[in-house]
Amino acid sequence: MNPDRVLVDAVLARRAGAFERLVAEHQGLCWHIIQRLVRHPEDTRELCQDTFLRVHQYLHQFRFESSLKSWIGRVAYAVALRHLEKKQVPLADNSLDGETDVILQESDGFDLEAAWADAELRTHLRAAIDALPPLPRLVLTLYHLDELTIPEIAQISRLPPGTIKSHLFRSRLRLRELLQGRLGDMP
Amino acid sequence: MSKLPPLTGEQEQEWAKQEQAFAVERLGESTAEGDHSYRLLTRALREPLPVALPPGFAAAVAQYVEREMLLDARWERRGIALLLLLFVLVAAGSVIAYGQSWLAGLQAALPSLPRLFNGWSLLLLIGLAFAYWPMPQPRR
Repeated sequence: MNPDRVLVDAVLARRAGAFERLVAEHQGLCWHIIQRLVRHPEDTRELCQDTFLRVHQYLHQFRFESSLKSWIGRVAYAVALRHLEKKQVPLADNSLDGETDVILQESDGFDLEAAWADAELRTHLRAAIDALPPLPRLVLTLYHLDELTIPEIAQISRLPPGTIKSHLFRSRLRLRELLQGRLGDMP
Repeated sequence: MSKLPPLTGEQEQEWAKQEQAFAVERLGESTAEGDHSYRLLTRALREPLPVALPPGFAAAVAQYVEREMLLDARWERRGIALLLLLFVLVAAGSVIAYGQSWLAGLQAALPSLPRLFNGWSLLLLIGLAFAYWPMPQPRR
């Protein structure tokens, strides 16, 4: 039997510990989605709680048309989106949508491990990722950290898969440009 | 949210480089393959987020949800009780105000009724019907 169905049935039947198990299984994804969109730690905690409250309220409406993970991700995304709308934070930045030169130089004899050991470079990279608009930041995290596929991210965000791919491509290209500028400045 | 245009041929090649760097880092092999900048970027993107989940978060959320649902159920029960009380008061008021005329109307419409059911019997019948009327089962 589908493990999602087993868990959902247990929660709907109010079996002891079932809902806590559901939260434990999906809290990581929920936390990533909300934190990447809203960034504020206290807001992240509250919105994550609200997400699971909604999940509990509307679980009987879940029709198993997608995975439970995608459905919970969609609820978390909607909760965070409403929060950003209230605060009037734009989700994406048009400056990332423009054409970017894809011809980038790759230097020979590059020491990858030495570069990665450079704490300053890592701090710079983290800051550059953090400075991205909420949507590209989220898409990058879901793809790289949570290892979700493009169709799964499309289900969560209700955006076409092609748009998700474009966000991934353009954000990574933009970050690579910034990184190369930084590497060029390094002694 | 506006749709973004699809990638061009040149961009697809760059996409392949991005994906190759991601695949190399995902496997965690010590190799010189893949674009170095994209590999560094992939490492940074795969690092845990700055603020981690608080310990015991799942248990705390489950308790919070349980409490909220209990509170909701309590308000729901109070609302239903209030509505029922209102209904009983309106019904009682209507019977007091119009009961005599309803009984007279009924007796006029059915002349043989008084012999079988005088006023008290009819009241008893209504009471029994009310007591044994199937009530909706409470939700599990």
